[in-house]
Amino acid sequence: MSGYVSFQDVTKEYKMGEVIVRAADGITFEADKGEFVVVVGPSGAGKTTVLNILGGMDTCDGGKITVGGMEISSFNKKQLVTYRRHDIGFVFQFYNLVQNLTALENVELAAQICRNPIDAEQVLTEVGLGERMHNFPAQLSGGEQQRVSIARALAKNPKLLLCDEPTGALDDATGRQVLELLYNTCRKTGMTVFVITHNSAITPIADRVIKIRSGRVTWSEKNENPLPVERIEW
Amino acid sequence: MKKAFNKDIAGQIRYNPRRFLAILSIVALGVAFYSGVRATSPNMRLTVDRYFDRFNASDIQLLSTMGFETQDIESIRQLKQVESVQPGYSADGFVLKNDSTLLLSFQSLDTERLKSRPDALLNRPELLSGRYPEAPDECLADVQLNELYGFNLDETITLQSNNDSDIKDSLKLLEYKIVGFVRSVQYISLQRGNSSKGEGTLNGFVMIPEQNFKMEVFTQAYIKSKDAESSRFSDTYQKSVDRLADSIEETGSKRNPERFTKIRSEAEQKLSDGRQKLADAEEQLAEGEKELTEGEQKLKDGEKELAANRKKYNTEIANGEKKLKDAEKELIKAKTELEKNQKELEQNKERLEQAEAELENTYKQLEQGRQELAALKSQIDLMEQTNQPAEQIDQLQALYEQTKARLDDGQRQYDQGIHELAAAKAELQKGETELKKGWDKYFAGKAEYEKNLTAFNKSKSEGAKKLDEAQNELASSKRKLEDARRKFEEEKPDALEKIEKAKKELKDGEKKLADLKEPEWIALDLQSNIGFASYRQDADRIAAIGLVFPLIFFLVAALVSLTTMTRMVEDDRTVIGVLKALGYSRFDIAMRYLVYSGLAAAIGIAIGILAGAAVFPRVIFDAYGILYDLPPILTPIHADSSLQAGMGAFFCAVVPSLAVCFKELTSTPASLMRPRAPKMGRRILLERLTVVWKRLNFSQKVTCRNLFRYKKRLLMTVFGIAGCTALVFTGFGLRDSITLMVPLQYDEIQKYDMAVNLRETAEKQDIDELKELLSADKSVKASIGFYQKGIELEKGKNKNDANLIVADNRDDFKKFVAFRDRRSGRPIELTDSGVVITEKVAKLLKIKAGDTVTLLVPDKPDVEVKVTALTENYVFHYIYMTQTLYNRLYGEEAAPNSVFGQLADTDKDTQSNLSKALIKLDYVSSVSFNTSLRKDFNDMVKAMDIVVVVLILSAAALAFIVLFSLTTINIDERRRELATLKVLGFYDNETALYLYRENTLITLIGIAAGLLLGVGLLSYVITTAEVDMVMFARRTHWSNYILSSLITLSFAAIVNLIMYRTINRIDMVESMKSVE
Repeated sequence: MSGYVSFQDVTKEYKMGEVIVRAADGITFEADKGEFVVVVGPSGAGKTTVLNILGGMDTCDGGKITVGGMEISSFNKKQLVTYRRHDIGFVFQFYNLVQNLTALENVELAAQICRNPIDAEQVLTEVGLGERMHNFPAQLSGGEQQRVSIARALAKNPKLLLCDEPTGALDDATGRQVLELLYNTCRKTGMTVFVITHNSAITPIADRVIKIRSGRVTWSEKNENPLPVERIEW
Repeated sequence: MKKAFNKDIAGQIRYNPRRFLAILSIVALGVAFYSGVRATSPNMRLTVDRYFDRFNASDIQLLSTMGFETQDIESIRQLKQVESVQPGYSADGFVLKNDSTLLLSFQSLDTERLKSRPDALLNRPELLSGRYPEAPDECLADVQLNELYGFNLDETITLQSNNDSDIKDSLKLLEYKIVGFVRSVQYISLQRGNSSKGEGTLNGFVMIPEQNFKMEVFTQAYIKSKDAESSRFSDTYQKSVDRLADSIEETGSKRNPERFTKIRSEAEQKLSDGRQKLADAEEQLAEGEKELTEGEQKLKDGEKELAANRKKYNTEIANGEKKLKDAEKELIKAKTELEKNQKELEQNKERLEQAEAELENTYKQLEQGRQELAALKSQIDLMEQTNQPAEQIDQLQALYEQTKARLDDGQRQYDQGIHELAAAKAELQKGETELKKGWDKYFAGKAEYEKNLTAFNKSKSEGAKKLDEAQNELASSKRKLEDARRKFEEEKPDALEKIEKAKKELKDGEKKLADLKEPEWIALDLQSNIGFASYRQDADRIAAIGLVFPLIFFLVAALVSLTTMTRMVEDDRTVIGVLKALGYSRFDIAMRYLVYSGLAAAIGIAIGILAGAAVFPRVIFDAYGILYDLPPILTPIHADSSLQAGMGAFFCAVVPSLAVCFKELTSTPASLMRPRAPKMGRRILLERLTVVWKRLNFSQKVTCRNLFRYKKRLLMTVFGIAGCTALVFTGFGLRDSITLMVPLQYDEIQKYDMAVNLRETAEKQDIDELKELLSADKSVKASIGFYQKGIELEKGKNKNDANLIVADNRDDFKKFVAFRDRRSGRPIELTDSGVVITEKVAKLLKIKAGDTVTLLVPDKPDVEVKVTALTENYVFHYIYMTQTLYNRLYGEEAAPNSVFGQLADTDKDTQSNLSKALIKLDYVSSVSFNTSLRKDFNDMVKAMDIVVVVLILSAAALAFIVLFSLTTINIDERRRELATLKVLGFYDNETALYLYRENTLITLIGIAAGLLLGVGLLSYVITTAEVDMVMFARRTHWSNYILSSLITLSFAAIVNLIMYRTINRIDMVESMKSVE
């Protein structure tokens, strides 16, 4: 296996009180550089666990993970922070913007700590928020907030863009716009994008679809003919 | 109540112990501080009340200008408010110990009663060591004599009586053996009161068996009131004692005229006796003088007679001697003539004998011729017969013829010779007879002369002897007379002086009699007891401090519990929603939080009350302890202050939580279950200041924005930190004020090292001698003499003691005492136009420069004088004036009675040598060195150290609790934000720094506010805490600002460091999952 991103038999257990939950039970997949990957599965299947481990927010209990040749499963805590800092961009379902900072400042917050940041204002303009970059999150709509969140992730110029249900809190139209933004970014910059969703309607646009159920990959396949975003429906 | 619900509450405490502990500890701290500090004042009062009860303290000490007779005492005993009266004696006397003179009060002790009914004895001494006196020459001594002056048990106290006749008149014995050391309710402070003797300050007291006093009247009476039941610090007590004092004085006004008449007639009798005695003495003196003068006249006459006699004698002797000499001369002349005659006679005789012998010879020759002639004739005849030639015969014949002629001639001559011889012989005979007659006459004359001489000599010597005898007699009587005269002259000044003195005494007596006022009774209640009054003030001051400090803690406690509960309720929104949806009533749900906060508060209150009551009063009392002589403080738990603290704390803890949860309880369950809208970001004021805002870097902007995001928390944190800084600042400041006072007072203001006080009896030449002595002493660099006197200053209703100093030589005096304005440091001139008084007494009497003040000098009229300036001073009160002004005010010179000296070397040996040398002089009453005063204050500073430590510890506790709970809440509230930062790839330290920047800024703001608050608090505490006698330094050392800032900063740093772990333990995954 020699993908840009590769999971090999990754396991992860959580202790929820006295119950042990096996969130990842030998997950194996791989993805190439510049692919738009959609990870799909029902709630509690272990998608987020995969994303967290891939993003260096969490560690796995077993297995091997490599990203662009780095074996992140062997990283210590500090290496993981550095990895997150320079190589990963995160987009969350609930945006996780700092409420006390304006859109621009939220982007700058991320940009100021990495090596080759993209200019915050430029990124915001690219995501279509050039006019509203001085607004606080509370003054923005959900879609706009999610765009700020994406801009914040992109400004870091990461190797991987990881999105956890980016459209989950958005209505259809806005979700579609956000998805389009992610898709276009992937296509334009050649950045590898992972989108996690429970909504399998999105899968047609993906370069690669990974289906997870109960901590296992049930189906992983490259989509040779992805559809453009406007063509899909959900 | 519902079981599951109760369990839920218990669970809350278990799952949120931090919040519970935060409320508990801030409440405990606040309550401890409040109830502890508040209880101190009542405890101090209670301690003294119990102590006074136990030793039966009198309520009134009654003095009289003329003492009390038994009748006086009886009439007081009759008063219905009086429970008991205890008359007694006291006299002040000097005692020498280790080369210094101590002035002690000797007080009578009713040993009988002490043995039989000790409980009935008023002001019963508390025996600390030894035993009670059994013999008349045993005494109980002030424990201070042991502690301060080194007296020991079984040591004998000897009263100095040489310069103090009064003590001999008062006491039978002058030596007492110490058998016990005691503490007395009359002296709770270290001061022992004043005396009319010496410097006027008593060093201690001695209690001696009553029979030792030989005074005619009692000097004092202790009175215990019947109805003074309540605390001696209360108004009720004061009122009842005032009433008692009034009725006692009323009794006095009845008794006193009677005594006055009696005293006056006695005095008059005494005066007339005195006058008689004086007259007798004067007469005696005059008589003596007269006798002497007469004797001297007689002597003079005798001397004159003797001289005349001697002259006569001398003339007579001279005459006699001359006569005798003449006679002697005649005798000698006669003798010479006689001897000449005799010699002539003898020569004649010799010649006669020679002539006789010649004649004899001639005769012989004649015979021979005749024979030869006969021979020749025979020859011729023969030849003729023989017929010899005729020629031959012729020749022979011729020869014959010739010879015969010659013979015949010879014969004739011879015959003539014989004849002549016979005539001469006859004449010689005649001469001899005459000579003999002459000798006879001479011898007769000589005999007579000798007889006369003997007679003369005899009479001469007899005369001389007689004269000598007369002279001797005269001389001896002269000597006797001279002796008598000398003695007389010697004694005369004494006698005259005595007479003068007697006259003066008489005059004084007359004047006194004329001035004699009715005796007056002075009823002194506890307020007049220096120790009690200052103790009361101290207790009041603590009460005042107790109002301010605990307030800070209470406010903080309320704020902490408010924020904590707010956070808790907000955290529980969903739970509240669920409970509400389940149908629990609002009250039930509110109970969840009320019980939680109430329980925390209740436990905190209990701990606080117990700890506060035990710690604070004791620490504060111990700090004050160096100023008082008291049994250990009683620390009961005071219902009132505990209740106040408890209620206050409960209110502070419970009401905020109630307020917070009611806000939530009014919302519908559905809205509660939805996540609460996040607090909106907002631009802050600072952003409008583009100039400033632009210069800030990103993180600084973020910090500023965040800082003002949570205003309530910001305010609270600032307040907590400000409180902490202010407390530390006040603690150090208080200590500084006292520490700085010492160098200011003793280096900058009182620049002398030594003060020598003279006795009242000292005269001008004494001080001159002392000055000379000091200037000769190498260890003394400079000295100056001046007059000082303890007086009272009066302004309006206020009075205060002060030390009057009359500076003789202004310019020189400046070298010993600096006059300057404290604020500007500018020097102040002492002028003739008014007095300069020290700052603190001016403040106490509310005097400003330019005001007037009344001087109450004992035995002098009260005068009003202008105050020209106030001078910096920290210890005691002084009023300075010039000699000229004194002269103008009192019409007399203020003769120096004290000396200040500057020493070349202030080491112990120099001082003790100097002290020894000076105290030997009988006109020196005391020698003191500033070194020892410094020591006293250093002790006080040590006591302040305890207070500082208490303040710093309290401040630390405050800072920790506030910072911990607030930082915890801050982290809790911003968990998601921090998690986001971590996800973004902030390193741990960067994440922590994100918060630390805010905390640091808040801390700095808090410190700045705290320093401001501290300056105010310090000045409040200083003005309320300082005793009247001293003024604490108003300077705060710059290091104080830095130190209190650094301490607060380090508290904040410690809290932040501890929180580092909490920050880094934030789980990104978990935080991100939750909905904001």
